[in-house]
Amino acid sequence: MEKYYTFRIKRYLPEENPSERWDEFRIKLNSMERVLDGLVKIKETKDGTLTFRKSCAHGVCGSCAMKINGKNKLACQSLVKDLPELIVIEPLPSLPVIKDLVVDMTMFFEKNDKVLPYLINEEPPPERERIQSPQDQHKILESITCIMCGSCTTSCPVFWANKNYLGPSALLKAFRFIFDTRDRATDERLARITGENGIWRCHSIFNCVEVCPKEIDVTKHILKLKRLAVKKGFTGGEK
Amino acid sequence: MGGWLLHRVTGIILTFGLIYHFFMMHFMEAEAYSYQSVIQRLSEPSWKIFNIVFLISALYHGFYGINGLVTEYVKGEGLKKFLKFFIFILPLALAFFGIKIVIF
Amino acid sequence: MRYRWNTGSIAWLVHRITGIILTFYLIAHIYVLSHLKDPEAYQKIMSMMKNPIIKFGELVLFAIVLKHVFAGIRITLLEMGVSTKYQKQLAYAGALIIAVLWFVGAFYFLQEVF
Repeated sequence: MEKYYTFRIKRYLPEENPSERWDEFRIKLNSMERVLDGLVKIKETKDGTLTFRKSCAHGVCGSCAMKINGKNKLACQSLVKDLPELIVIEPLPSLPVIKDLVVDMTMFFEKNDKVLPYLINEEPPPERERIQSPQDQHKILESITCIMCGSCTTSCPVFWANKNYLGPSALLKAFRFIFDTRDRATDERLARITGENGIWRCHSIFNCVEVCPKEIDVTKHILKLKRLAVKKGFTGGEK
Repeated sequence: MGGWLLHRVTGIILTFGLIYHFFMMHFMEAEAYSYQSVIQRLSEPSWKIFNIVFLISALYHGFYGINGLVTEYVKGEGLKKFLKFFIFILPLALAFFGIKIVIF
Repeated sequence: MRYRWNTGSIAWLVHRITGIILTFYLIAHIYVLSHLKDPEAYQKIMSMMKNPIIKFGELVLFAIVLKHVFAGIRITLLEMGVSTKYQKQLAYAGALIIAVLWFVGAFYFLQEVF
């Protein structure tokens, strides 16, 4: 079934004056199509200057995260039939915009680097590989599904106000290695995330859980980190 | 300082303290609020200890929260440092006055 | 910036605002108490407390305290390991308990006036 939808898109064209404006496009889409299909259709048939990121278009690469009708989502996972006739699209909140829906993710990836996103184990490697039991794998399975689209961190009111906050995405990454039974750097990792801008800035707002396209309960993971940190003697001495 | 954990602990102390506080301040017979009986009550050591613990918990809990607000919302480094110093001194001063009231 | 509100973010915002109000109230409270040295001043304050406007203010304060306490209980329960699946139910249950306690408390508060 085909239906007309109005896409109201926030544009940012740095070389134009004024650089910010809202554009509306009316296009026909069928019920199987997604917001991303609409954007591609607009770019191909209406306005070639419309800029947005996309790659896999199947919810795996995490490129097309944007604010759709006031909530961060992957454009490739949002079926238009689930949305009202007017679809309002903005770039991810609180990150610097480069053009239209493309934001500068540098800050986001720098936070990821701060939690040492790699396995640390100085013990001599066994002959084949470091074996992990299915039970141990299960402990971190949910956090491994993260595709780093940036929806969670840019939906967090604490991050909006304080760009130094590590944010849900980086803390989830920290969880993924701290609770990995093969990793040996738990104390160093905890020291890195228990500073003034670490886990104690999480106030269990659950915005990150609401938006995660992989349905990861990010807050649950941060709460587990808090409990572990307290058990290990990191009680949040930031005052 | 214990920071986050202490914030939670004082929060729990305050929850129970408040129940007591409310009952003593509002839900008793009218003559319990005459000047004489209030002074009488406040001079008991158990009440003094309760009031001091309650006061310090409230100050710590409240100003830890304000400290978090400064961390999150204040942008300039100089202003941040100044405000953090201010909200470190203010509760200490308030605790001093508060304890003076309790002890008389 | 416009962003869609959720149960969790509303709970957080109200928790924050009530917390700020309560901290300022605490300062004022200590200040007022420090002026209760003699029986006359005490009587003056106590009769002022019977004023309907002050009573109304007390009821508002009571609601703020309840809201802040129950928001704190919800967060503490989640942090102690209650499943985050129930975060919304906890918020709604808290709101219900606040409403009941407020009405019961208001009844007693107003008894002091009449």
